[in-house]
Amino acid sequence: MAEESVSGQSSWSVREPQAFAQACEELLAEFPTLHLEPVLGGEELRGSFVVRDEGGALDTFKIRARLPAAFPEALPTIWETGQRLPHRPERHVNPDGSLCIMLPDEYWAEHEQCGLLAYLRGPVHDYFLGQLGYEQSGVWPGAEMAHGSPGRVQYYQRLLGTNAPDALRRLCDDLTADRLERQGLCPCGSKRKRRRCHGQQIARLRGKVSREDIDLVRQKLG
Amino acid sequence: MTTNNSDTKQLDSILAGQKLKEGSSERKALRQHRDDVQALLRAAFGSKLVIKYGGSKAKNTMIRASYDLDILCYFEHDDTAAGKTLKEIYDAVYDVLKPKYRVHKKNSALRLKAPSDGSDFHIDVVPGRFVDESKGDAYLHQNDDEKQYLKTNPQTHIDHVVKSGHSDVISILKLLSCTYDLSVKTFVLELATLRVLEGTKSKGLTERVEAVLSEFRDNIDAISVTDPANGNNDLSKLWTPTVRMELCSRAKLALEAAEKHGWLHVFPSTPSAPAVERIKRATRATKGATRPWLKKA
Repeated sequence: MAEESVSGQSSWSVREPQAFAQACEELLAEFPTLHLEPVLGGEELRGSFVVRDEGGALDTFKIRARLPAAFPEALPTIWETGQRLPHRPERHVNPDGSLCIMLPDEYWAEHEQCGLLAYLRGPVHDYFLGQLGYEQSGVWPGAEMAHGSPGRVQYYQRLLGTNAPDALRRLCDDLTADRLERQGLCPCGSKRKRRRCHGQQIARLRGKVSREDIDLVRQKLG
Repeated sequence: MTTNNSDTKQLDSILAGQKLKEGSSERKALRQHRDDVQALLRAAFGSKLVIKYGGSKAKNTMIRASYDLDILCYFEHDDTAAGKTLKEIYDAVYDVLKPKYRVHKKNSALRLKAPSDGSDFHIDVVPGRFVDESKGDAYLHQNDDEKQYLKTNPQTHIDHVVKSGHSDVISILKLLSCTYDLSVKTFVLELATLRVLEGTKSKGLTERVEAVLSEFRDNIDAISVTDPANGNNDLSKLWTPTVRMELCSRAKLALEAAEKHGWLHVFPSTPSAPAVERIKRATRATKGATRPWLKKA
């Protein structure tokens, strides 16, 4: 089995064999119908994903997940392989069949690294439960992001607590600026000092969000 | 691995939950499609055509988790109503089904899907021609193989499984294959399972399943598979080292999980019909759930 990705980075199971072995052991206990193994340029997770409630299993979906070489600093890509989900935007399935589990920015705003089991337990389970709800009612239960860049804008509006395009653009500038003015007024327009308004939040998010993603938001805001 | 009463009951109840019950919506749909297909083919090719069930329905190994109904439609050896060659027969049957279904061409079969949205009807129509008037052996057209035809005998395949007395073990192994999304073909999985169980009759389900999985885990390369209907059918392309390695690793995993947590952990039981109320409650309860998003609009 080749263990190096095209980027030259060795895969997770090679870099961190103990963490990989532990994840396999934990999977066996919590997700026994999924199997993790090293493949060319990363790791692959395959099998049946069980959607549960407190009463037990509700349904299963066949999945294949690819852990990139940069895992756990990058999120897995997941495909539904049972041909159950149509590749349509309203079902949150990308044209290539990969699943739109969640906005990556949202994940990285809360996490330093991707914990495989926590990711399966949380966002992936939410996603498939949403699909079951959609199958019953024809609408996505609960909230969903708009597709593409509008979804990113929506997320940052919610995260930073402003719908005003100018304020959002200035806050985005702060997220990617080389250095931050600590003492100035907050760019959100509240007329409060930065440190008493968005300062701490921006400082926490800086370095976690990708410049490319923020550029897309700025582009969308015009 | 130790077998005890509760383990035995677990596999029995798993198997019972996988049966497509009489009167179930799945069974009704399959029967309706079979009647429709039969009517279409009879109208096109006449009453001499032999139409019957094959595959898991005839072998009693059909499982709810992954079921297909094989409808064999074989022409008599001298019947040219659909064409002279096997390819012509295959294409003629395709042409008859196409106006009513979205038809996907498989190696020898024609898979029927809904014309509107392509949803799967779980039906494979297998056209062929009997070799002679005894109506035993038959030739099938093959799309994906160097050899464009295959000699087979569906009754021999059915007898091989049914008379073995191990249909129940095969159903569990099919469930394992479906659960772990294995690439092994069901036909080869059946042959390998029966090879391991040769001469075994009286043992319980759990003991036989564990015997098969242990052999897959420990000695899979020593298991040879032969088509009981055609010794010349080269199965090496289906029983490859990759397929064997995958089966070996999942057998190990399943045995480990069953030993630590029980068989219900390996094969979680799901409702036979969508649990509408439970799904509604569960979706309502996920306030603050992460929101799905599409990468490209």
